[in-house]
Amino acid sequence: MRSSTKWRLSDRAGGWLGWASVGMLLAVCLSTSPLSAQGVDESEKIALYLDRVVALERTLADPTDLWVTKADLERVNDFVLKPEGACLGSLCIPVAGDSRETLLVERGGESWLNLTGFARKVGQEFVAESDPAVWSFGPIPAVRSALTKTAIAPDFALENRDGETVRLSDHRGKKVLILTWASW
Amino acid sequence: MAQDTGGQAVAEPFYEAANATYSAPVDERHVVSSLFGLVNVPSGIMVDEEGRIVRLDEGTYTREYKAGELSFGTNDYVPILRDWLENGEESELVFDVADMADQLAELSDAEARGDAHFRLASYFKLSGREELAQTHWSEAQRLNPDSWNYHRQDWSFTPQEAGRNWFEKFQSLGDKPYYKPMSETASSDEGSSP
Repeated sequence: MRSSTKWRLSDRAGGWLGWASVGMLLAVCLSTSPLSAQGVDESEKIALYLDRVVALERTLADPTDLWVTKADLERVNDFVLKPEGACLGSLCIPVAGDSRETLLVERGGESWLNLTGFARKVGQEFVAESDPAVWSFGPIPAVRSALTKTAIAPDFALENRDGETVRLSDHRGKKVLILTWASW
Repeated sequence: MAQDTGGQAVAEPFYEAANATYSAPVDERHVVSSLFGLVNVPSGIMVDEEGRIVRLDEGTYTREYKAGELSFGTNDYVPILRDWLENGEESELVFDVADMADQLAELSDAEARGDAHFRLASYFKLSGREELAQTHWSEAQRLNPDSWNYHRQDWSFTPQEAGRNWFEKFQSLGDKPYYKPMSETASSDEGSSP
């Protein structure tokens, strides 16, 4: 109703107000569509994936999706932004110009990837809590299929009883038995 | 490798009692089970010199154990392990890439989502956010009810009920095995060795 009231103004000022309204509306549309990511958000946010707990340095303010920097993307899942897409070794997922969902934007002079949109694109399950803000990502099917196709054991890092970091890859060249047990 | 949200505090007495001289990591967030799709303990993964999995088994006790009328484990696992250590890829008890890959199943969407919930639950538990941890632990168990790891880790925080919870679920298995049966041969055909 308010906007129709403005449109009824027929004098110059009214016309100016009307166009100003259209301009403001367009500005809002341009900044919210097709994504709602706005300015840089430095509040604490955590991303969990495999054995990683990553405190994200910065995100973009967005009520639904999680936008991360190139550096944080690599810290979360080892994917690297390249001209051909987000890549892990020879696996590259195109992220620019996706017709269904915007996955890559430029803000503040740097590139940001929509990590939750990327997860949807590659069929990766994720769940999140807003307070505290934590995103937990399940396996990336295309990455896990390396295990189910080649039987190569994925590497992992854990602390041993002396507080030292132990990696499976530390034992390459030897036979290894990984034996899980629990106190429960 | 201790898989236990209780971490070093609960694992150390066992490692001390075992006088562990081997690499003894503590996996507070069940990372290894997540990576390899394990659903019960003990589980054993044999990895060769090139980093390739040649066997993955459940119920990998050193021998058969009796608990009343129930028995767990088998006397077969240690001989299988010894055979592999002695014969390497020539062992007839280990699998080639194709056979091993067939055993390493893709996760269903529900299992993958359960994995994400369990990871979140572990994070909140270790951060002292009990209520949030419980929410996501429950969801993980609902999505992947076959994971004894999820159930038993959760039940461990209410020890007065853990035994009853375990026995009820164990009984509900009916004819289904508690541990996936251990294969005593690598393959029914001659292609077991690479």
